[in-house]
Amino acid sequence: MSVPGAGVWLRWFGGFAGLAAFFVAWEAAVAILQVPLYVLPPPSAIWRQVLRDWPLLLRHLQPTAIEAFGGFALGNGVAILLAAAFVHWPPVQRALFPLAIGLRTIPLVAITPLLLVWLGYGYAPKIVIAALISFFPTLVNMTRGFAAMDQQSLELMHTISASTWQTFVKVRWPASLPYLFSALKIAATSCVLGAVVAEWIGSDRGLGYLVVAATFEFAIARLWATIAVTSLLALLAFLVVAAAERFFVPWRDDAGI
Amino acid sequence: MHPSPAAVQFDRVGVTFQSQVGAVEALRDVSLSVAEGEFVSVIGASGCGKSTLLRLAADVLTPSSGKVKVFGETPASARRARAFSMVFQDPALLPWRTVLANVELPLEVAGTGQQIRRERAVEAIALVGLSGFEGARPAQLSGGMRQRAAIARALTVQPKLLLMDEPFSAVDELTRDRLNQELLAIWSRTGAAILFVTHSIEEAVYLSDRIVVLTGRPGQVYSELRVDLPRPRALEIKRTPAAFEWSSRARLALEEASR
Repeated sequence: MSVPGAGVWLRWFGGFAGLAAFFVAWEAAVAILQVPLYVLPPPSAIWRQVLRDWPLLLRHLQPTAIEAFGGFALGNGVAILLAAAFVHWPPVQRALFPLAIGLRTIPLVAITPLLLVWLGYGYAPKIVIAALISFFPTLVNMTRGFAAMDQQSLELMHTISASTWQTFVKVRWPASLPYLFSALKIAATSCVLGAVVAEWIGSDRGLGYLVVAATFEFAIARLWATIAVTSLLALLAFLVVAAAERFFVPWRDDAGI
Repeated sequence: MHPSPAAVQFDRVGVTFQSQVGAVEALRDVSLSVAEGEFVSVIGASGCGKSTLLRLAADVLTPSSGKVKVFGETPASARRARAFSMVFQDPALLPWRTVLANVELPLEVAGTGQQIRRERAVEAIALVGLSGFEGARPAQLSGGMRQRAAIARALTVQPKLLLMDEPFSAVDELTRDRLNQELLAIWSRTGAAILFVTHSIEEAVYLSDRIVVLTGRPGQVYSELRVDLPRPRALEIKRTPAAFEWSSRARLALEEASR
């Protein structure tokens, strides 16, 4: 049975120790070098600002979280379906993969204004941007993941007369889960950034809007507080995906992947 | 009354693969049959098409020429009737499934009800000596135990024919001996015909009614040996002069065939 050994806790501890050391060094550097607040505030000042602005931050956190999550679901959902189509119908892959790469090469910052024109000022354009940013890594990973089934498993499913659907559900899908979660971990953080960038360009709410507003008002401490909350949101999304992976791919440790 | 058809019948079968370096002829003009309940082993040099033979019977490949019949039907319809099971060189267990769930897989795919599925899987697991490990995942088992689970999985559909592709090549010598002995017990209990591909001459002699020796590529039937060692065969029979005699005959045939 897989019991989380001392290694897991050591890894967690190591992660926290690294972060803590970083913040302590930051705090010390700002104090010793007497860096002005508007250039770089110390972490303690940012934290105090987060507490002070908490109701405001929370109000703007909500739309960003909705957009990020919506984009996460949409982008990954489409990527998974498309990857499944690629594996079963190679001509579809040949036809659409270049298009997917093309989509990837479009600078998102440049098309955001267009999306605002097309889709309005509501959630829709932000969700689309967050989806676009999550889409490509998942498509690439899942195309590999669905093809990761070994030849012998395929032959086994054939000799027991499994249908294509049964083979997909019972073998391809579970076999692809480690690949899926690698991709979802990337998407979990990037979808938050996508949503923020989209708000930054055109919105009157959300953490991205708050970044712009704080910059205009020269409210440097609030700007940093917003950045901190955005990072925490992305970190939270990442941790949720990592926890889901532990739950849904318990054999991952067995296989030593 | 018609005589009942052979479990497997290869009739002048040839297989040619198209590869990047051109056409590769794997099998040529192979005729061979396995009677119901018979244990037949195929030996031959590496790359002589032994596994190809099994894959033809299992409907994984189709022959370029000649005919393959499984219980008088095409391999495809025998496959759909679940008349045979295949055991691969690699156990090919699904790592996310427990032993029980792996063994149930063929019945699950066949749409068998939960209760019968469970009963038959438990029975098959007992037959291969894995009782008590139903809840273990493949990674927690030794190589020999994994192959036992793969055999149990093959047995759940109660096939009349087992196609076995070097199933014990990855386990150590002593484990192989034990698995050989258990395979004979399973064979006599189930009455299934077995077509068994192996590299090991001693294994072929111990297990088989008949040994088919293939030539090097393209594989052709070089000779057949009818092993008349008495049954049931205890493991000790491997060390008798009669068994040595058969082993050296088979080795000689293999050397001549591979020349």
